[in-house]
Amino acid sequence: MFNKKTLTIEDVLKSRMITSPLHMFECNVLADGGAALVVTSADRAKEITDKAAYHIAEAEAYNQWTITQRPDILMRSTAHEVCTEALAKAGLTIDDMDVLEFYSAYPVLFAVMLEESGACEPQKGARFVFEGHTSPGGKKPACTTGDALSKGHNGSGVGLAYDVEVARQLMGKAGARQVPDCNHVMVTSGGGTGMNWIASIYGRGLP
Amino acid sequence: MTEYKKPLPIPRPWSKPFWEASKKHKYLIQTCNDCNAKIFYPRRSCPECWSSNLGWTEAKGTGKVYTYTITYAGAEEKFSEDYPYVLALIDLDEGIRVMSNIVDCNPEDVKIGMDVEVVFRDINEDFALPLFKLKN
Repeated sequence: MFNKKTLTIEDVLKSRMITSPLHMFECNVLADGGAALVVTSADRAKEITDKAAYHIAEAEAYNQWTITQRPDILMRSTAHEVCTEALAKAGLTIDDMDVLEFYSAYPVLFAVMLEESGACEPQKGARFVFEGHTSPGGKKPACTTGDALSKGHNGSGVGLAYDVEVARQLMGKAGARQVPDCNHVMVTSGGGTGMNWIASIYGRGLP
Repeated sequence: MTEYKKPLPIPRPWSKPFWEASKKHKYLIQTCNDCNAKIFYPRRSCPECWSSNLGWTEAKGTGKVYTYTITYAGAEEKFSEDYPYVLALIDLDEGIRVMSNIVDCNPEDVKIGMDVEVVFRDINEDFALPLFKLKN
């Protein structure tokens, strides 16, 4: 949790309402921060290290900047499209993903991504989280740094910080957050008012 | 009239008729003269067929609440005197979706699907804002 404090469901529900139904602890805290990655070709990576995170596939789709013009304000179809396309390009399935790193500025989008990526059944995203499947030791560990809600949101840097965590998980450098036998990770991001989604697949090796 | 301190609309050549009509308490919808598309928000060309042959039709000013939120905090400071206020997406009967406030009610009474009608707020000598209220 932000500021290294624990947070219970009761704490969230007791916190003041900001804009219904979002309580204070369901809104991002703006934060300062930075992230950096060393990027190189797959061939050079092999020369440099035996622990690299390989970019396998990526898909991106645009919806609409203006919320009144979106047929679907939660952008479910766009989320579904990018997750499906990225997995198809990688020749992998959602079951091959050992960690899911879904950027979601507010909690509802985490549930949407779980559902639209196929990680859980339609309309069961919130229950999937509640049952602990996305927690450490669960069948689909997700958002291993606690998402922007917990680590703070610093604009574009929050997306790059996701990529850093993906690299750490695949390189076995995630410390207490390390998911055992992590071979593949799906990471998603979105921009602006939520007008686009991007899904990427990374692996400990190339397929 | 007390001075209105919140941000004012900035009419563009293509949205000026909307604000001029609003001032006269009429709600206009931009309409494509070539493909008949109803367009919101006002633009220079039709988002459906790219025609620049655009006109205006007057709306009935009625619709239904598509979704809404009650804002208690977090908005730009000039709006804080209005807390709590209702920010809503409203489906007008003519088939376009607009964003506006639902006013003159207890915010807790607003529910998805309720009927609403436009109400104009004269904010200064140049502008009236089209807002909505629950229809009895």
